[in-house]
Amino acid sequence: MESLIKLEGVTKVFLTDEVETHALSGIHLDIRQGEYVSIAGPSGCGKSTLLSILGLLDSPTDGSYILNGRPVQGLSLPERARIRNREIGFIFQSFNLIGDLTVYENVELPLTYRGMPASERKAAVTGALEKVGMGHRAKHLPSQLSGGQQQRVAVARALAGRPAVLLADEPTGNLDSKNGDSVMQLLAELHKGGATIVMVTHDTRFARHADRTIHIFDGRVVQEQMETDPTR
Amino acid sequence: MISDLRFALRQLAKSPGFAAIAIFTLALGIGSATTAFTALDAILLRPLPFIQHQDRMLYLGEAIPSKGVDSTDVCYADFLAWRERAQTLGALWAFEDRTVILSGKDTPERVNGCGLDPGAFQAMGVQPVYGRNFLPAEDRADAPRVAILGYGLWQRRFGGDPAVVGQDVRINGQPTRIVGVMPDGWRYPATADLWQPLQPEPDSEQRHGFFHYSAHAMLKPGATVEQARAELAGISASLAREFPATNEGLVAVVRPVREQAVDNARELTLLLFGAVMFVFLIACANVSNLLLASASSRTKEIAVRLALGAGRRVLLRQLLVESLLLGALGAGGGLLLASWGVPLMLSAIPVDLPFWLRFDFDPRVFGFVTGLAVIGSVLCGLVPAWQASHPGIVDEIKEGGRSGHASARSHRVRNGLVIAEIALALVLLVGAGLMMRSFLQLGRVAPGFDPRGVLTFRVGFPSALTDDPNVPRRFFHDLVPALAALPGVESAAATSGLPGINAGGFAGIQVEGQPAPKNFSEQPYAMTRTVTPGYFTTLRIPQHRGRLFNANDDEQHPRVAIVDDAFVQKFFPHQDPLGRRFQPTGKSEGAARWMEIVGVVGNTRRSLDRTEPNPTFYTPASQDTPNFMSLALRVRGDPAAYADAARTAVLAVNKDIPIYWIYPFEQAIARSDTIWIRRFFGWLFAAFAVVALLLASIGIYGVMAFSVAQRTQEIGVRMALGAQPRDVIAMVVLQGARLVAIGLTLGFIGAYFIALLLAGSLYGISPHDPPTFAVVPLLLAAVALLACYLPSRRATLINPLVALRAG
Repeated sequence: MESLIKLEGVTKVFLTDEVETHALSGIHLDIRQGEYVSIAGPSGCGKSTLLSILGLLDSPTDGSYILNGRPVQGLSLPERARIRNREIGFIFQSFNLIGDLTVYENVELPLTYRGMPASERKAAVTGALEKVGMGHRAKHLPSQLSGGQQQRVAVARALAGRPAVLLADEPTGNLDSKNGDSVMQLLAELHKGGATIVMVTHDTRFARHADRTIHIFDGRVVQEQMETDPTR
Repeated sequence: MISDLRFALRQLAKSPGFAAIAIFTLALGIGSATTAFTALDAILLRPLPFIQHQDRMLYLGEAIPSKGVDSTDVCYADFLAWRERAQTLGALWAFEDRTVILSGKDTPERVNGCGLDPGAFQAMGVQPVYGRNFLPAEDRADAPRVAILGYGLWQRRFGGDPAVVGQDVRINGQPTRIVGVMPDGWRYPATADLWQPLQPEPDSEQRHGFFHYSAHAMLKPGATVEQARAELAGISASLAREFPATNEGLVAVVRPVREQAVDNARELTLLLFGAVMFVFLIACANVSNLLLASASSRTKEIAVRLALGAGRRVLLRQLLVESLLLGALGAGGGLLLASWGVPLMLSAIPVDLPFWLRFDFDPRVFGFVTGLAVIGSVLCGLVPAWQASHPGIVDEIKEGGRSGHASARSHRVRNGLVIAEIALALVLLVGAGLMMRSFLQLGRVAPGFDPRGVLTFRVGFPSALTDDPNVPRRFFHDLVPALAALPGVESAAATSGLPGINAGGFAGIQVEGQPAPKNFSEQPYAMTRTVTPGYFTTLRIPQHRGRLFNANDDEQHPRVAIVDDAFVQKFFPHQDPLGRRFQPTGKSEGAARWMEIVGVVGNTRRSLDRTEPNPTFYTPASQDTPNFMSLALRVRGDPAAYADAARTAVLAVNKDIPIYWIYPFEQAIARSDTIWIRRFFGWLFAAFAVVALLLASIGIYGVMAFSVAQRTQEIGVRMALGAQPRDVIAMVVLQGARLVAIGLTLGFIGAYFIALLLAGSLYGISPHDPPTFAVVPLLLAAVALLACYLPSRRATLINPLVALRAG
């Protein structure tokens, strides 16, 4: 399979009060289309920074990043926003649904920014909500849903625009184990359907759902492990 | 309470930026309101200085309702009848404004004088600080000449020397004994500097239909204004039966003196005060919004207090003490701003104000400021304090604000306040827009003459100075050519009254060959101006038919007149007026004064705020020269630069005659009552409207900035999902635009009705003037949207990564 994400020598240095913090040091990463990759490591190791760079929410201090065959590390802010909108689907730990918008409107939001016609949006939103089993809650507000349901809506929002890759940052971090399992099951099904997923987690139980787990420590990739769990 | 105050002080010290903005905003609101209240206090509330029993003091006038004349001067013969017959009035006195020339020492000086009944000052209970009041017999024609000096004149011209009392001074060319000096500030009836006994003209006691004097009176103790009004109405009816030719249709006007004095300014003063209270309310809304924002950042502190058992009453008290402290500091700042604002406001008044108008801060003003501070504190602080002390806040904290009820509530209140601010600001801006448009309309009026490049001044002979008509005739005959010969002067002319400044007399008109009017109320009137031959050329009044005056139009030749188009239309419609004759009525000499119309000129406006021209006839000065005339010099360059040359030229013709009211003609028009009052109130409305606009803009900016801060995480999510900067800007601006649209709609409705109150003060535009109602909301919308745009720009700078981490 061809490479969807390619990082070469990516470093990230934060400068705070004359102190240099090396969050990432010389990361090389190659993620192929349709792959399910888990990024694991202890707290503060740099895995969220890596995900932010992958999601174009942050830029590397050095190194190159090629997404879908296109170098993206030096793009302008509007161009990065455009790529985030079309190529990347985000799933956050704290769901990050907008409280004043209904479930439907939350899922529709990235499509609105894309300028998609209303009829197409409706089909895409309905399809995404059905896929995560939340079609019947379209008119509800996030505050009327459980945490697991909110995360399903967040997944639908990430899916609706048919992005090239789904980036999930501790997607089960705010959920109880039952809801966590349910969300992980959903991601596994999406992967089976062909979705490329990059997930940050520190829970080894969930990391095993991925094809490959990349272990990071002190900003460096210290181990790559192919999963062989027969249950998957 | 003391601990609440201490804590409130600490809170303000902890957030100096918040405190400074809140105090400044309140100071702006209270300062504006105090400035306007000082004017309202001076004009409508303050007692007249010096005068005892002023609640019993009345203005007396005469009106001709059938002619739409509400109140005019008083006929002395009628006045005497009132004095003789009225039982409700304890004292009545007549008076007249006079021009007085002081000479004999230094250069001659013209001062505002007043001739009045000798008992007037005693009736008002005012005593001189030096010397004595007039004696009863001093108004007799053969009595020795006496005068009382005003304090300012005494200081200025006589160095404040008490020994001047008892000395003779040349007043109007006559040695006159100074018998007293009035107290500092006394300039009755308005701006007089010197008083003399009235000594009415010899035949005025019998001469009905000649309205020249003013009159005041004191009610007898126990009598009411209504009783006096009814009594004088009865006396007027009797006089109408006794003298139908001159008195039929005349009615007496009886009003409290203060009510009469502020007649023109009452409505505008109240409107201005109302408008400025809008500014105050907008300031309160702003501070309330600030306090709401501040309270939301103190939720945790308040929740802890509630959790520790603080009752709501205790919390309310503490929060209200904080807003009272803000109010007190704002009131101090407001008083300071008003102490600058009042002199600034007065500096925009181009004329001498009546002596009784005093704009210093009196206890009433301090009481008003205190009241505003308390009201402002409660208005600003009550809603935020009520919301912040809500017991449900503890649950909010426990739930981490997930329910969002409290924040939604304060969000709604904040939005409501911004809507109210926009609505109030629009009402005020529309009012100011109407006033300014009305004033600008005046500038577009074609006056019928060209005041540009003309210097004007007045000069003349008080009747006491000379009773020989040849003296003024020779003086003006020599003066006009002397002025015309000055270098740079293109032409010069004299007139009994200049157009455009509300000057000039009226005369009844009898057209030859037409029956004389049966009674006074049927008498048609026209304006009369006596002019020298160069008048029409100098003022560029167009000649339409016939000829202008020339040197042959003198006493040796038949009387002639030039009339304007309005005169022709009124008295000779569809006829050729040239060669026709008419005479002014009302003169007592009895001799016929038929004059032949030799020319027709264009209409001129007596005052620029009059839509209809007054029919006017002009007579040549060489056939009947008045004692006083206004001079007009058309010059090359700046008219003001010719003032000294004009003064010297006048003194060269007569060394004892000072010139006064020296202004470029355009300035003289701007100083006339009808113009300066409109301009003054127009600018005041505009100034306060700008403050309102500023405050409303700050208000909406504050709310939007706060909203952006509250929505940082949401905006971060949106940006993470691919929102472009323009999407974020559109979201924030649209949110603000919704509030602006609601505010503008409510304000538009309010302005529609409030504008009706202004109708009487507008000239040349409808109270629902379409340009004002179209442009002003657009202007406010543009400013308000700019105030939304700035926070939206900041929103685009939010780093989605930081925002998401914060969430």
